Amino acid sequence: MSGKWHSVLMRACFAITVGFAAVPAPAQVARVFLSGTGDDANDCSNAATPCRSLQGAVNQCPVNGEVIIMSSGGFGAANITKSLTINAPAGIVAFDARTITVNIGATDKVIIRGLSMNGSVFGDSIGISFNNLGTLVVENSVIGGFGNGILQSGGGSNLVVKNCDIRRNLSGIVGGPGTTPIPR
Amino acid sequence: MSANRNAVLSGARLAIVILFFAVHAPAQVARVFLSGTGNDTSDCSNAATPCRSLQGAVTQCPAKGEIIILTSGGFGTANITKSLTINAPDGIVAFNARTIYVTITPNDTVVIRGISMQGAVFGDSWGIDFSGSGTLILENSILDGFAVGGIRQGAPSSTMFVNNCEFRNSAGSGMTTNSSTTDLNRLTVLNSRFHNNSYAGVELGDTTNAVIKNCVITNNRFGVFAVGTVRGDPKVTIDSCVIAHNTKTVDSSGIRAQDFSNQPYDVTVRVTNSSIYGNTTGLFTSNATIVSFGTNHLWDNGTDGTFSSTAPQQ
Repeated sequence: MSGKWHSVLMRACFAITVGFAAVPAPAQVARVFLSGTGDDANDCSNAATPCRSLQGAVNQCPVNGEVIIMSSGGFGAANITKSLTINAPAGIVAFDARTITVNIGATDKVIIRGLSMNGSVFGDSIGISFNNLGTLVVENSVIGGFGNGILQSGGGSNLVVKNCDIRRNLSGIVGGPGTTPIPR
Repeated sequence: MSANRNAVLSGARLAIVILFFAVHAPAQVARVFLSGTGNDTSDCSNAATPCRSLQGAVTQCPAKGEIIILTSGGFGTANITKSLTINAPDGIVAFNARTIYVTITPNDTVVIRGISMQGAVFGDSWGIDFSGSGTLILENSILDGFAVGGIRQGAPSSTMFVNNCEFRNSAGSGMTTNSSTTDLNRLTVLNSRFHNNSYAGVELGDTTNAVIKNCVITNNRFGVFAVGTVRGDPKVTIDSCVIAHNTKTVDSSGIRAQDFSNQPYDVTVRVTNSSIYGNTTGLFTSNATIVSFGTNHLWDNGTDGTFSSTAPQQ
């Protein structure tokens, strides 16, 4: 009787361990998925179970990996501290009303493609705060309604902006070391 | 038994209260969602439960927020009275057969991006009727077949930007500005087409200051019609446009500038880098001026007409 119970307990522990391991340690991939109806508790490397928030996707994204936005949504603030690409294709409104902070090292590179940012509801001071080193590329995006649309405040950093609409901010793009954000 | 019933009733009340808050008091967000299969009684801030009608989404959208259209659908009339953005991305047909009213105040901005409007079935007067004041930005949209006109900028002291749009087949003008006051309106039109409207492609009245650039204006009764009234005279710059085949009636013209008011006659159209051909009359003026910067092509109209003057290159 006691032996049988022990065996049941062992199986239960094994099942819990397997279940636990399945979520935090998926097979290594180069991309994760993000959707307006996702859930950050998912394994977001599976296209059937995307993340819900940009920060959730950034957390699960491997270094040098890609966050693929699958459907429209509002994705919230994020702090990016490693090389990665955020990629929203045509046909999707990847909306964000909060500040995205890019705080990376000198050899890191972040690409942000296809966001629709509108800061005027919450009143955040900065759309994209690029505040340290490395390279930031912003493409195909709309950034409006912030104090600074993009603030590049790290000395020795590279900012590349292509095919963007940066409008109705107090200042569109503000660059230069020691630059401070424009309050709003 | 009675205690049990009380407990059940309390539970039911609690559930109703929770349900009420779940629908009516979502966390503050900056965007709401709209879909052809949604429901206006949903909490439309959740991408899984979008609204069904444009008015429902406008009502739930916070001021300065964004309406994100998730899937194709017909979304119906709406009255927009606050700053917001309507955003239909590529790959979605955001259809609308009814008038969208934009009635905002001077500090408000409304952005409408990516809608397909077709007024011929219901016969509504206007596609978009912009009154009040403030700024309206219209992008990537088609306004087709409305009974009076595609879009009307009737708001005094207002600003309108139009980019990458098509205005066609209306029973009046594709685009009309008439502030009904002496206040200045500002209009910028880029990369757009005005085709087969029964009156003008672009009809500019009262005190409108307009720039029309990179546009194709064809098969209307009048291509561009600048009309002075007792309330004021429009000033129009036409840059890098094609104005052709405007031949609907014997009085059709590519550019018509006319002042119906008393002196001074200040209706002014300035034209640069544009082609004006194949119209019944190329240029028609009456108590008004059409100025060339010397870089236009005016040829092969029934009657070419003449520029009032040519301004030197600087």
